[in-house]
Amino acid sequence: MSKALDHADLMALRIVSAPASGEEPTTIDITTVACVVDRQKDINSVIAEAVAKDAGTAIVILWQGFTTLDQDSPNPRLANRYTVSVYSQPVIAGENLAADDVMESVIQRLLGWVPAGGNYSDRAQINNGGMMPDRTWLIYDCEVVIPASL
Amino acid sequence: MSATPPIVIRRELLNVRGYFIPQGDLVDGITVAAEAASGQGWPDNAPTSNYTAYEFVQIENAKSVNTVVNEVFKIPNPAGGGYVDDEEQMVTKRSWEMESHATNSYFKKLENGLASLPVAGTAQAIGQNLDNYIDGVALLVYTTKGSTVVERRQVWARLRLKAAPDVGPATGKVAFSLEMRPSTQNSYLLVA
Repeated sequence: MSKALDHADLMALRIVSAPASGEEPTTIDITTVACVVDRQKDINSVIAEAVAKDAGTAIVILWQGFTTLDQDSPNPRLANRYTVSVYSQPVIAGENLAADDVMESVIQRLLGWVPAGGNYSDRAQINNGGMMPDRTWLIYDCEVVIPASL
Repeated sequence: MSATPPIVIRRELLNVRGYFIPQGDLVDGITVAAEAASGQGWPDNAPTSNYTAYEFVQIENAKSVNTVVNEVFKIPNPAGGGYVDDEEQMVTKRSWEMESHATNSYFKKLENGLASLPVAGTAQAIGQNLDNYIDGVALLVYTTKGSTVVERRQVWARLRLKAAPDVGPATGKVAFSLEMRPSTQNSYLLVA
């Protein structure tokens, strides 16, 4: 599989793993939230199912594309850009998690994260984020950039 | 003499892991000292597990910096008379300068001139030690972005604090250097 999707899968595991000792604690516990990688299948039904059954929210990771970091590097060195979105119902029911709390917790899990034990210079970076207008869902998203050498 | 054309012809895009064990620490049954003697010397570096707890984590920049002394002589010009310059250069100091966003107790000791490493909750006099260095064994492991080890330098070194982290709106960055000091065990290994 492409390294871009490998990193997306690792990111999904990272987001829903509990913070280890010494790591930044999360605003809320998001270990029960469904986190799916968008592989350009029928993502809408996946989201609907995840929101319905898992804490009322779903996290979706979409690989947007890449930029080249170093035109002179010995092997291609890319900065993969991902959109990480948190979907929830506009009205929160019962014990369901608030999407903004989930988004904060996602950022806490990803800022400075180094995939697969790599070097700190390959750490994940968090760029702009915010609320996305949508008729059906309440959506918060942010852009995550992860360097990768192919 | 056999022909020795250059090898290792490649473009390099490297990471480095840096480790430093101060003189006098007892690691793997060996008291760290510049030279090997009974019960003294450098802990085994392969694998690097003896050094893991002593890593400078999250090194972001590393560069090799040499001090070079120039001396220019005038020598007779064999063609046409007069003189030409004959320049000699000698490396008088080898060091490696690094930066990281992560500090540690060694840098706190140097920044504050402490007589011993700081311990949380225990006060000690500030400015007691005027030396801006800690001697010890440094291990620098250079890897590709794919974590393949390509070079290893291990030297008796003098750790110096070049800049303590600033306080401000952005995360502070610590700058430090490792200056090579004399030891018969100083080594460079081209791994691949």
